[in-house]
Amino acid sequence: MVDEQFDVCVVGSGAGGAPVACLLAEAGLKVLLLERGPNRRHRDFYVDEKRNLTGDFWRPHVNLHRHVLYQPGIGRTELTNSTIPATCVGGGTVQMAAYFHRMHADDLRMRSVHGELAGANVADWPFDYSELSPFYTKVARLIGISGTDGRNPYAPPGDGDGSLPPLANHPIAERIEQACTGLGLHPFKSSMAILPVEHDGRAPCFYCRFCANYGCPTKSKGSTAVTFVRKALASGNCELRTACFVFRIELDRHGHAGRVHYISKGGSRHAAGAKLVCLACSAIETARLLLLSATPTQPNGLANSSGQLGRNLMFSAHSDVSAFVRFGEATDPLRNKNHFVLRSIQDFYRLPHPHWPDGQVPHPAGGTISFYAPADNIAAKAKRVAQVQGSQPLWGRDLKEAIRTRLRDSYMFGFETFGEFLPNEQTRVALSSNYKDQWGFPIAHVTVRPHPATRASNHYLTARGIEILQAMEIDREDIVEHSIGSINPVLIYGTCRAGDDRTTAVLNRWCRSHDVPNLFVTDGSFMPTSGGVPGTFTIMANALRVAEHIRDEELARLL
Amino acid sequence: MRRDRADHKWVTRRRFLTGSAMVAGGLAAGGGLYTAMQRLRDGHHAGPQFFQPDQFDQLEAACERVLPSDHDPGARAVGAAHYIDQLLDEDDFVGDFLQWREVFRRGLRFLENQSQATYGAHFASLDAAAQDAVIAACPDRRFLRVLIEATLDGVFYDPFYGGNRDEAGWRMVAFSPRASFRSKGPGSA
Repeated sequence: MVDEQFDVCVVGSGAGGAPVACLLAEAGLKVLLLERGPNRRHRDFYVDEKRNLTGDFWRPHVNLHRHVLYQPGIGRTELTNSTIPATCVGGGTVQMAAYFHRMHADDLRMRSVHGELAGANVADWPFDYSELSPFYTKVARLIGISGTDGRNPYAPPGDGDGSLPPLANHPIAERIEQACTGLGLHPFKSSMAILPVEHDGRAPCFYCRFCANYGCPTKSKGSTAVTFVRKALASGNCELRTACFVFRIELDRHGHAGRVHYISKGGSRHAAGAKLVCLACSAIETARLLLLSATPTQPNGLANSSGQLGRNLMFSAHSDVSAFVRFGEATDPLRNKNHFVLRSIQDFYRLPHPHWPDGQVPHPAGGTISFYAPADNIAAKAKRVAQVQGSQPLWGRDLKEAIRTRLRDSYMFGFETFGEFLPNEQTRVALSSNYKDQWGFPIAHVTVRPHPATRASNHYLTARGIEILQAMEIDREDIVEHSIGSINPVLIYGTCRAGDDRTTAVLNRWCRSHDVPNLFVTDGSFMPTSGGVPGTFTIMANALRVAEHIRDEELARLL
Repeated sequence: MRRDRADHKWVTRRRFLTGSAMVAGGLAAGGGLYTAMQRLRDGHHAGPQFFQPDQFDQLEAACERVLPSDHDPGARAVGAAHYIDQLLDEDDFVGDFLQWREVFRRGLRFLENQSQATYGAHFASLDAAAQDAVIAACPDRRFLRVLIEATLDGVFYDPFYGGNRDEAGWRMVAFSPRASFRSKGPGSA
């Protein structure tokens, strides 16, 4: 039987895969885009908290696909699907909150600028920020990013280039500004991949208040489904196949990735031939696919001569703190329904040593504090008020009073921290020896062992955020800490780090495998360090960078 | 649009029919049909699916203690126990929640046994203060946590899932998802 033949096969249609599929399809190549999830349409995007926050709408049912998540630090092993970003066309970008910050120039040179750290595996990126910067601008122009305001003194060069005007914000932002300024900090407007004005045929945001964990019913959120994938399909050169799970990349006799094996809906198996294969299944699933593709000649996993495949897994270090401010009279501006708080600070992006209390591991990697107001997930908010995870949950008349006070009579907002997660070899992806997915393939065994400095810096960031809330004259009892020094399980990086040295890196500077000359990886897997911002913008920019390189430099060699 | 859940994988046939009926109810302009649909849905609430009738009475009483009625309806009137009953009755009820069935069965058994031992009466028939004391005496802390969590879900999740009757839970906190979807822009209150 002769396989179908394509020029390019891209696996995964999220932030890493879609830009590659789009650019190469527009360049005239015949592209096959495989996505394991379904194609969600905007009529699927309605407000239903249970469906969007639990269950199997965004990710496979936990009986069908899951990860083993092992966190030795907190003595917890669980079978979970929480480390799987949304499984649908567009991937995690469909239900993202959509903070789009650039990385800083020294994020790409953590080792040269800030030195080594015992117990961590800090490395420089194989290219400079100046190479990445123009692609941030291109992404901004293509998908439409609401801009910042140029007030961030720590902003990297080119920040805000190509952006649209900022979104409108809630009046609480003024009070955050005052508090920050009073503390000598430098608040600025967060840029988001949400349209403040019409752009490229997509409607502007209508401020419905449901972004994170929800799909956008007006396509105002710049998911890859309504941007890159749509353009790829419009080119006429890209074929999108949904509900197709890729389980193996097969090498041909020249050692090139020749065939992509996948299972389509209903369970039938197929193979497609491609001259160039690009993986973007999220850092955990990409590593798993390469491990599953081991051969007698590459027994430790495809493209793993360095032994680094699956290692140096990173997340965004994450804390989440809420605050409640009682409404005044009926005309209180806090009753405004706009939910974008839209303020961030990067004053603690680098932590000078004097910040550190005695005995802490000194490393300057900090992060971003972003203020936000959560969507009106009433049950989730009520459960937070009841502190069901705490040792003394609230119930009875007290609970009912508290729910009315907090949810009906107060404005709820808060902040998240996006901190650097220092890479280390113990935080990694391996194949589970005990558990299999619905097709019988071993699932990913994910071990998360944050470096002490990661946790310490996140606690530090969180404490600074709480100081800002207190400077807004919010009582300590109205400030509720939900998670501190935790991880954001869907902002995933590492596992196939890029570097010039093939003995320590899986990919080269163009995110091409050192071992397999026509195999590329363009999701967050390539990142040697995580940076102190959510990585989605960076993943898209890098994917465009790689795609342009493939189009301009590699085609003649490969096709 | 919000009621179109035919693609929803774990919608049981019974729920799907209820859902379809509610689409019709939502579309009909006349209040009469809506009332009829409401009655249909209440009729569906007539008997518990997962719990035995006596267990269900205990559950309703316990939920009511988590969120008692005052000038706003409590968990019983909002139908939180119906939500829990439907949830536990799902075929592919999974994940962390797998243990919930057992936690509820054991917890309710404790409530009843403790009531009989202390007061010589059914838990459901005790007065509020006595019920509170019995719940607080439960040695399994998980039961209280799960009871609170599930009750709040039943009060505040979409009425589609069996609780939040007449959206009373949402009205308690002045929330309307439809109102937010009608938002005209950043300034509108």
